[in-house]
Amino acid sequence: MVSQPFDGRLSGRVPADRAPGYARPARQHSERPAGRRPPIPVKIIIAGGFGVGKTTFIGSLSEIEPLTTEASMTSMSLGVDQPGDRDRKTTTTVAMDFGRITIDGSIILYMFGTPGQDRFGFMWNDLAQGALAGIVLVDTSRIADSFVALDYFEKIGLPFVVAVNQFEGQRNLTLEETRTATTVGPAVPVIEVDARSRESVKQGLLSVLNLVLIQAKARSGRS
Amino acid sequence: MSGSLPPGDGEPLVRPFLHRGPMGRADAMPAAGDLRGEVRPYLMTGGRTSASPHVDVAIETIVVLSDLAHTAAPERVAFERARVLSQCEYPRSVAEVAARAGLPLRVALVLVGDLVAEGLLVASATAARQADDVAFLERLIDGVTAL
Repeated sequence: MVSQPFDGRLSGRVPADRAPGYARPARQHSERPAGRRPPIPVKIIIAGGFGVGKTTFIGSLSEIEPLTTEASMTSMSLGVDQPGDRDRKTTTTVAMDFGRITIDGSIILYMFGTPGQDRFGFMWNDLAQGALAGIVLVDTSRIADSFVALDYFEKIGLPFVVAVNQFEGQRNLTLEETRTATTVGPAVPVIEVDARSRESVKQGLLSVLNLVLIQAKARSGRS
Repeated sequence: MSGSLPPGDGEPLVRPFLHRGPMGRADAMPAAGDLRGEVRPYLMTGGRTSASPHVDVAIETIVVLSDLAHTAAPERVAFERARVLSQCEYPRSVAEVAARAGLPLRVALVLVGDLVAEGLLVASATAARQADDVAFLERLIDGVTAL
């Protein structure tokens, strides 16, 4: 009774798991986690053009099905987001998708995908505030789609890597050509990832985390 | 009473700009089909777009029910606030709470901030300078490597 004080009043009113695809976590903890200081969140931003594979990337490593928040419905998209826009992709990212990775009992890492369209750029400040790092996903056949994200990360000084998503059989540019085309600085890693592969996404994440670590060590004087 | 009518104008001086529209005219209102949400989202927050002052809640802030929430009388919380609390039995970010409770993100930010201020939710520590904390970063990298 003590562990579920709201159940009687709420379960009839609110479906417990209304988010599609969400599996209710198993109650494996014998001790009640509530009441203690919750884990520290780490926020990584996954940016890139529309349809470049951000949600796939997040889903490959997330321990939950990527969730979507509808942050935009309260303001600018109202009356602007015509149904026709959504024909381009079956699941349009009108807001942002995110996934969760439990690192240990006191750290949870969240990967937030940026909204796919430029007009949702007003949300980016919310996203980037407090973020540790970013990953810019690039489709080399539409490299200009990544420029908004590159500009923004450079402007706010967020450490990031450029990750070329390998679509099957497509290899328009080498990594060096991609570096030239994106004009990122020499310190920015340009890597290849396969957004569908858990191991590849993990390596991409490690790439940017190591970049953050190198920068932290350099600042603290023990490189 | 006749003094309330300006000379030469049949309109009373009550809310004098009402007739100028567009908000006062039904034909200027957006068509019902354009309104994506069924209710005005900020109805749930009393019209506020930010949470209680002195509460720092971000979309990634992780919250969980406090001990107080486990003992507090249920009538203290109702409707959307209860929907938020029902998602916080285990630690979850505000973004997760919003997605699972079906609330717009900014509404969830306000409601969670209020519930933290009232002591019904406990919020994660704001990791101020994660990017400078070498030990923290090494722990994080070890954790990701072990996935």
